[in-house]
Parts: sequence; C-alpha cells; structure tokens
Amino acid sequence: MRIHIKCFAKVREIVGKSALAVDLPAGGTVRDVMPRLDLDPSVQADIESSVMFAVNHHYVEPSYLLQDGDELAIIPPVSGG
Amino acid sequence: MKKIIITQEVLSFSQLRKFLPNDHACGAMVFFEGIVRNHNHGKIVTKIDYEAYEPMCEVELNRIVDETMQEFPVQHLLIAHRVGMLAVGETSLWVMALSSHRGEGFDGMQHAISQLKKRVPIWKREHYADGSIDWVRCVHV
Repeated sequence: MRIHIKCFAKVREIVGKSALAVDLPAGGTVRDVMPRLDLDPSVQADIESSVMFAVNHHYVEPSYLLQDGDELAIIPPVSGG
Repeated sequence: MKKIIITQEVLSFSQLRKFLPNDHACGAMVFFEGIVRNHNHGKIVTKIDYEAYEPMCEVELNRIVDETMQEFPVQHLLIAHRVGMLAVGETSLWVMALSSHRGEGFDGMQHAISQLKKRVPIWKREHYADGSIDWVRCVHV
C-alpha cells in the first residue's frame, strides 16, 4: 500500500522534502514509516521522540494501522498564536 | 455561530467583528489579539514566518471551537490566525467570544487559546536582529 507523507517546519528541513510517498506492506503502522525516511538513526530517534502524527488530518498514535492512500503528517512541536 | 479563518491577509478587528452577530442575549464580548513581539529568550526578533498545515488547521480549530462552546456557555466564537511573514507589531491572532456574562467569555476564550497552542499545526520561524533564524518551541500554558 502507498502512504503519502507530509513534513513540516523542522522535520521538513531534516527530511529535505515537504512531501513524499512510501510503500508499506498491508498491516503497516505509523511507526513503520519512520525507517523508510532513510535518516541517521539518532536523527530518527530525535524526531520520533518529539513529534506527533496525524492521518488524514486527525491525530493518531504511532501504533495506528495505516490504509492504502492515507496521508500521514509528521508534526513537530506546534507554536501557533 | 462559529467562524474559523486562516489567511495571509492582514487581520482587522473591524472586518472580523462583522462575522459576529449583534446578539442582544450576549452582554459581553471578550477578545484576544496576539501580536508579534520584538524579543524572545533574550534575542531581538525582527519578524516571524508562520507556516501552517492548513487543511488540518481548519479541522482542529473547528474541533476546538465546538469543544469550547460545549464546555463553556459561549454563544458565538471566532478564531482568526494569520500565516506567512509578519513583522514585529503585526497581529497574528484574533479570538472573539460573545457570551451572556463576561466570566464565561474569558474562561471560554482562555480555553480555546490554550488548546490552539497545543494542538493546531502552525509553526513560527523567528528571524533575529543578528541574522540568525530558528523554529520556536512553545512552552504550553
């Protein structure tokens, strides 16, 4: 299945892209996407420890089961206002 | 009545006030104006670039407004957030609440702003007088 990933702010700068797509086997979760970003393991760990995730505009946990075509947003700490 | 606005345009109180009705059951209108400050953590700020994940901002702001109007007796609530590059002194946020009495208006508005700062996917990138640039990491209170 294909997952469409959106990256914002600091995460976009680290990943180097604002949007990309990855293919996951059926049954994949949000957590399974992170290794597909080809980041240095320490950078990946830093990101995972600080971000929130949203699928199709709704916040989800890393254990959330993805579906083909989902839009996964990696959301660094927000600072609106 | 509820209203959500995310825009790159200048936010004007008089323009936004027109979205709220003249409801004679409401004896209080409280509002909050967020303004770009010229300093942060000891550094001189010259401007802030606001980035937003706009489709999700609309979803999350609508949720916040609905929750606020369920939990507090606020009859009408407007939240308007500006995005893009803002200079020091420009307005980034307006929140306006109409309620029967002032207390519930203040409480509801405070709740809405606190939730916005925790949940709505908007990011500030501050530009400093020394030429450096950095993403802001807010302390949520």
